[in-house]
Amino acid sequence: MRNDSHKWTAPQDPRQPVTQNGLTIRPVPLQRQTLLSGPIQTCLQLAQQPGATGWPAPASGTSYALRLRRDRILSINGPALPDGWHPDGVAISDMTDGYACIEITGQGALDLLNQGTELDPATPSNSCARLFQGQPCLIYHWQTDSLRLHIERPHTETLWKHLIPFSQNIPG
Amino acid sequence: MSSFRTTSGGLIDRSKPLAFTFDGRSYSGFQGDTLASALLANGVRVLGRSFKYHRPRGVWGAWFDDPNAIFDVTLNGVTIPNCPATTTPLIDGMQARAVNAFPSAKHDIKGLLDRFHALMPAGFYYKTFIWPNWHLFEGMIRNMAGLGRLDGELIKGYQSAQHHDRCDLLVVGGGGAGLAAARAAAEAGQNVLLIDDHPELGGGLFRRALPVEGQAPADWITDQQSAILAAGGRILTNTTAFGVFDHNMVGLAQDHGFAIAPSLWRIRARRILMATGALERPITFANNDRPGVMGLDGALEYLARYGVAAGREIALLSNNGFANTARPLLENAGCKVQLLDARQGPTTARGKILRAVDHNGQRIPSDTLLVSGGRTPVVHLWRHAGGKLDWDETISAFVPGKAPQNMNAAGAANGTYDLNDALHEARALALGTPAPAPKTPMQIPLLQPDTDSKARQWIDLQHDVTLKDIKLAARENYASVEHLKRYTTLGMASDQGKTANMAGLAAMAQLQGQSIPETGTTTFRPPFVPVPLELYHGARRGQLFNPLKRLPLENHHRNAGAALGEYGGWLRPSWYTDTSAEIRMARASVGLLDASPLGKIEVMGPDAEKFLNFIYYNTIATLKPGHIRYGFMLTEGGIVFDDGVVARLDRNRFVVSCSSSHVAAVAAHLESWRQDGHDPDRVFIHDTTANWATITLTGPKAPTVIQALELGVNPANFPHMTWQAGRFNNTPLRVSRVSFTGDASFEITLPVTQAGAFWGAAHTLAQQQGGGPIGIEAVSVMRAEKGFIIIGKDTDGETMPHDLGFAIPRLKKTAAFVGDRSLHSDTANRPDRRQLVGLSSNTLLPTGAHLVAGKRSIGTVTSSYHSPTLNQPIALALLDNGAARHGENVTVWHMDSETPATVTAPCFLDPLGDRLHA
Repeated sequence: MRNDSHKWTAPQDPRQPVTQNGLTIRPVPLQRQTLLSGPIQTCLQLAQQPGATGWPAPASGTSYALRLRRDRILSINGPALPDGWHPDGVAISDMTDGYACIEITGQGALDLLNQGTELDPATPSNSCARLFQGQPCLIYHWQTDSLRLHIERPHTETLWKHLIPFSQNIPG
Repeated sequence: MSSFRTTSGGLIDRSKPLAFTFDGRSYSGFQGDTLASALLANGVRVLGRSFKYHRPRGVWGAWFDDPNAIFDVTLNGVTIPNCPATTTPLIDGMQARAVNAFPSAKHDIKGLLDRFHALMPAGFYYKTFIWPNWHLFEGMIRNMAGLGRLDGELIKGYQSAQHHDRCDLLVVGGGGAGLAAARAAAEAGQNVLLIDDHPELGGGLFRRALPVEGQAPADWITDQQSAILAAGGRILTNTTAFGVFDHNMVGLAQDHGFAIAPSLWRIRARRILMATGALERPITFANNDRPGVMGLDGALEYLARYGVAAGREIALLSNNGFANTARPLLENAGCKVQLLDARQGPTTARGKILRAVDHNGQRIPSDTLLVSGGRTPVVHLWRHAGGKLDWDETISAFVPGKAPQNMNAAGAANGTYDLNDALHEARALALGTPAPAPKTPMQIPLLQPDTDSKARQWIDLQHDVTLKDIKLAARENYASVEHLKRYTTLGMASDQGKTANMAGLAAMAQLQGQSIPETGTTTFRPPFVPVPLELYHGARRGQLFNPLKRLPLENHHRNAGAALGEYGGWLRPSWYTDTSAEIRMARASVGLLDASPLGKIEVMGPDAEKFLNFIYYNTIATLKPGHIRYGFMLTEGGIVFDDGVVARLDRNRFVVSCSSSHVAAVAAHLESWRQDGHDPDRVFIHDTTANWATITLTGPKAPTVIQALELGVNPANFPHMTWQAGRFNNTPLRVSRVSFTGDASFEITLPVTQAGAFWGAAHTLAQQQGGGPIGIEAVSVMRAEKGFIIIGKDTDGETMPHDLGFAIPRLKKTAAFVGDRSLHSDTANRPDRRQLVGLSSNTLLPTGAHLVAGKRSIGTVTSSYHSPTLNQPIALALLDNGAARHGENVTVWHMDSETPATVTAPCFLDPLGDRLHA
């Protein structure tokens, strides 16, 4: 019977940080990721955040929120919230294991990602949801010199396989 | 030997000679030459053969507009097919060979075909090769078709880099207008990107060879370039804008040299300024395809850039003032030039390779006939972007009309041929101010072909479309330009009609008694010039070509020796040891399956129940918390879209466990209906599939293993189609009693990071019971033994739920649901609907085989396996009126062989469900 195992390299788990051409690409372990859908202000109150990061304003701190769409945020390292329907009209789902987070640090980080998606710091968006090489993901600035990507975990291996050769195209 | 290298001039580096071969003969050129310029410098006149008649061809142009000189080029063991000789820079050691010619372009044995041209008019093979069977001729015709030949070898490292970028102003074209615009915009603080497809900037300024704003052209160009860069502008040379797409996205192909993949730039430009210039327009006259007939601009380009004179005795046929400025340039290069007025005729080229021109009753000895029938602005990008074209009577050309959003045209591309006017226009447009009216507009009369002439007059030089073909098309009522194009193949060659289209339109307009704008143009589509497919390919290769989703337990499966395969976009274990052994093990003891790809789509909110009751064919409103129900989702056409189970976690929360391969589609389906007809604040959809692993224990010993895992659930009090909350390693999980095998089964859903530990524990306990892991292949057989379907395999694009034996909701569900109305249509009620059945046979039936009545198909085999449990072949099928045909004998036809089978109920194992509820 057919066996295609050899066509697909085994995933590296956990991934080790990679540094080349002035860029560092590393997996970011996050304590908690929670998906909240509902009136955006109510979502933010439950996540205990003053606002949610879109594009290009950066996120920072140990706990923050990402804006996915007008009625949805992803709370990062926020308070533990029970899954299900909240009486304030918010749907809550744990996604701590659902998204892998990868951080790219270095001057060429934006150029690296621009090989797989269109990121224009001069074109703001309330949402950080993007397609990177056709895969849905969340991309945002992190602190001053980094970019972070969240991607659904089954696509993590694909993302790494794109990022490493893309980083080789960046002048060091 | 008429064309020659001048003693000085050009942009070439005469201190760097280069050697190369063409059709096996050795030649030399200089650094900076193209293959075409180097061959012209060596006096080579025949550089190719036409596609259909294999007529000898020289070069018409000096850049992308040349349709004739196309080579397969080999260098250092790498062959690139279909290189345009006019745009391929010469490299030392190149071996070039003309395509579509054997043994050489000069002596092509298929040149004999031209003698039979009368038998091969436009569309001849549509008419000729229809009897008795097209396939009799297809092989021969396909062998003759095509141009270059691939050598079949991959080029190592040939991979396009792809970038996204943006700018305020993208200036396409680095000629006078483009440079002036880019500088003005950059100095005004705009983020400017200037691109040009040549290695150097300047465009047509070199061939014009006149001062620009008081400076020598080269000095003026250098000044503009320096100023643009100093103001922060960017410049990309060797870069072609090959298309404009939605929302001002412009595709750029950046060339990096021979056998190196070009880079793709996707540029999002706030504004685009098209300064793409204009092309020389040919004139239609007798034998106008002969080697030695060349466009005037092309000849001036060869002279200015490469120091090559097109001929020694030149006749210059023109209808415009460009000829007057060109004459002294050619004479200074040592050419003898005679001007001919194209408005007086007729004109006939003489000699297989030009040796004279008959014009207006006079024979003029000449080795080269330069032609200038006016200019055709390069408006392709304008049309890609949706811009309109206007017909300008004064210059007899289509010029940019109503503009697409955020796009302007300047210079010759806008029909502004005077350089000073073009510079003023470009600067104004770059700064967003109104463009001044041209001070020195040009008059160029329209030349019409002599449609009464019996002589052969070429319209499309590469595809051998002649005036006679246009006349034939008009006679046969292919009068629309789009029909004309397809019937004659006018403009369908690799140059996409850059020189041919206007000549074809003029001819058709004359034949129809219409004006050219009444005749119209064909559609301009990207790419503007041929680009390698690799440009679009980029990093999408190997494992990234169609990347699969990866299981959190993949490495566990690899360590267990699993054979992995693609199933619905996931890489999953097909089998571990042997599928039959795994089935027997699972039926006797317990099988452990990684079912993580199963959908886990949460539907939450006070309207969740109502929403799912609308989405599902089955009634969900009566589903109580803690319970699970199997159901179908239908399309609005009533066709089965997905099946699966839905679990009610609490009053306001459900989990839709759809098919593994349908998760994204089901999530989109749900979201679509949520936003249409439902209060979007009272129901939300969260696809949490990626967050959870699902591990299934199935078989008579599954309850034992569940008990031993100490999850906090009681398998003895755990009815089928219910779920219970449990814990593993202090992590909450869900245990669902559902089955896709027909045996007692438990699906454990827990966070991905706990999956490895759980799999290890369950695996150990299963082994203690004589069980172990099973792959997807085993499950596929086990579910077929039970008659459980896989959507898309055991259903097709016409299957409705009642075809699968689920008829009650169609008859009794009172609440509205998706697809309801379609289930009551005449089609849905046809007595011969194709319905799910089982097939019993002594031999294994081929999946996909037809069930036949005489020669008519009455159904297909959808699934077929050897059942290790029953030790016999089993099969599922869709059969016309199948539910009423149980017990009938049918014939299964496949690859000319027939096999008898008996129609049965689709369930082969445990029809009463004793094992399921055990």
